[in-house]
Amino acid sequence: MSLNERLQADISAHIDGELPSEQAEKLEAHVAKTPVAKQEEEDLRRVVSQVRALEPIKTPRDFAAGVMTRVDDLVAARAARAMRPHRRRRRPPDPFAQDPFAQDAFAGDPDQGPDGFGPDPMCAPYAEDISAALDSELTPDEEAKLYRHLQACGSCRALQRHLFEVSDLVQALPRISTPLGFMTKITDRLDAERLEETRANLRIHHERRVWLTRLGRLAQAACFLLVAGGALALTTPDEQSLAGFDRKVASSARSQRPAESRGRWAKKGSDRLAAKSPSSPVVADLQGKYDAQAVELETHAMGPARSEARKIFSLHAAKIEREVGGDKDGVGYELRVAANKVDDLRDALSRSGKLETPKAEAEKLTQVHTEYDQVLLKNGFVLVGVATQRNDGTYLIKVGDQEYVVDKADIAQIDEANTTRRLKIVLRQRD
Amino acid sequence: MELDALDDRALVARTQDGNRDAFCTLVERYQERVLNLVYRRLNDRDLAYDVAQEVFFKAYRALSRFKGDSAFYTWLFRITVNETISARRKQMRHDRAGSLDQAGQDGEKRQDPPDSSFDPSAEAERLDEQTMVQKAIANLDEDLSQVILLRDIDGRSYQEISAILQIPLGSVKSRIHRGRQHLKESLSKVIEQSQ
Repeated sequence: MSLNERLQADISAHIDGELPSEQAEKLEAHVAKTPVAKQEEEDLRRVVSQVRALEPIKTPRDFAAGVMTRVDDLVAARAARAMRPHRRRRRPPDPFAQDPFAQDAFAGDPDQGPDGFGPDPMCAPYAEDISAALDSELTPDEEAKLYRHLQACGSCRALQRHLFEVSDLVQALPRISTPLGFMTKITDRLDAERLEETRANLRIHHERRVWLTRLGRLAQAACFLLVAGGALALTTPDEQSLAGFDRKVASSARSQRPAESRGRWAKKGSDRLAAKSPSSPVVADLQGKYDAQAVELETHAMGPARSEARKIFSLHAAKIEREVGGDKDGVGYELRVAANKVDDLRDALSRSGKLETPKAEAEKLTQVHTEYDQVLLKNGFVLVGVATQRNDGTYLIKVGDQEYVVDKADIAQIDEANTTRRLKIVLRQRD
Repeated sequence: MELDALDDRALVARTQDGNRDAFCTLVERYQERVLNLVYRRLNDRDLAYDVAQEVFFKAYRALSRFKGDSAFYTWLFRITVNETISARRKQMRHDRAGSLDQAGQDGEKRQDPPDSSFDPSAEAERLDEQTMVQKAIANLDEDLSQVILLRDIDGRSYQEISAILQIPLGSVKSRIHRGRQHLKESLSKVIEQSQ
């Protein structure tokens, strides 16, 4: 025989002392003469006692401290937000006139004045200060004065709470991610400024640079020979040699544009460039590399990414076009900027999953990029890659898919390459 | 005046006025109850710490909007219930495979060591019972576990539970009854042994 659910519920409530006394008496009488009900009560009492017998866990000593640390962080974050420049805005005379939320904040306050700043016109300046305090724009004296006022003025405290709430709500708004190309636009502007600066320097030192360039080329050739010879003596048979790198650099200077696979929009840019291209092997080589990267991107970039890549190349093709026939260093700089942008874009696309560059192709692109550096730098032998110090005191330098072992004594300087996020290793000239 | 001597309403008002220590007093006042409520439902001590801290942190963030329409503890326990539900969902999603068994062991292994006067076999039996009860509570449906925890773990009256969960008094009564029926079935072995 089973009890009906209502009776069971009553027994449960009776155990908790939640039944009215009259109902409790009736239930007790019924339970006393009904064995099934009595059994049910006993069972439920055991269940309750089992649950209530669970040993409470103790709060760790640092629990409250942990909470308060987070609270303090929140307060500090609010203060930090308020510290940001340009936050302080001059509020209109009646900022809450159209804000029902603000009106609600003062609802029911009989002392509330019609201007929304409290019962006393004297409160108006404090309202300004409350806003400024939120932005941490008050001096200590002003803060102290405001604090004293807040202690005495409930409506201003309400205003303060409201402003904090608004600030919290604004902060809680979902953040949107920056659109593709956002950074590119910024770096474009930065690059343009940097380019102007470089051009100015180039103009100033033009005469001097002509001679330095010639001397630099001679020095570079001598350095190639010296370092290649030294590296050959140092490397083990199974490692790539610097001699190989020399060959690679030499071949890069002769490299041809990958004409057959070139994409439509990449072709447009490079053709325009080719039409006015000077005969300099350096520029020709850079042009070829530029095309190679354009083709790589066109092959892999899709949708908006592809459109973005196209914009970059169109922009830089135009710049290069303007530069051709002028200063060759300027052309090189532009090409390099383009290469860096391609590199950055490729990284961004890879991270966003919009460009799946196979590893080998990625390395190839890296290698192409490295060759830019090799060709463009005239004052010394420079590797741009990842350097790892080995136990024997030498450095293993990975440049693209090439590896070079260089003696520590041959390294004059290791810097973080500004534009490539890799290491720039300047090799010392040997006597 | 000592903060400890102030009632919840006064402490809330002071917190709203920027008194950090007033809120710290509120945390210390309710931390154990909140933590145990969360722990009984999640059956994972570390997770319970995190969730309980989150409860207080969220309470602090929302305190400026607390208008005192209900008692502070009612409001706080409502946050606790909501946070626990949310944590429980995540827990079920991430640890669907055997998490409760593991969590049960977690509760078991963290029991304070018994002193030398304890009978080891009786102690083991007691821990087994506790683990079973704990698991039975953790396995209850959400709406049933809430009322059982608030009633039997935190000692809230039906009226208070009704206010915290914002459900009618009759629903509290029927849910408690159904929760206990489920527990009775789950713990039938324990009950038989104790008879």
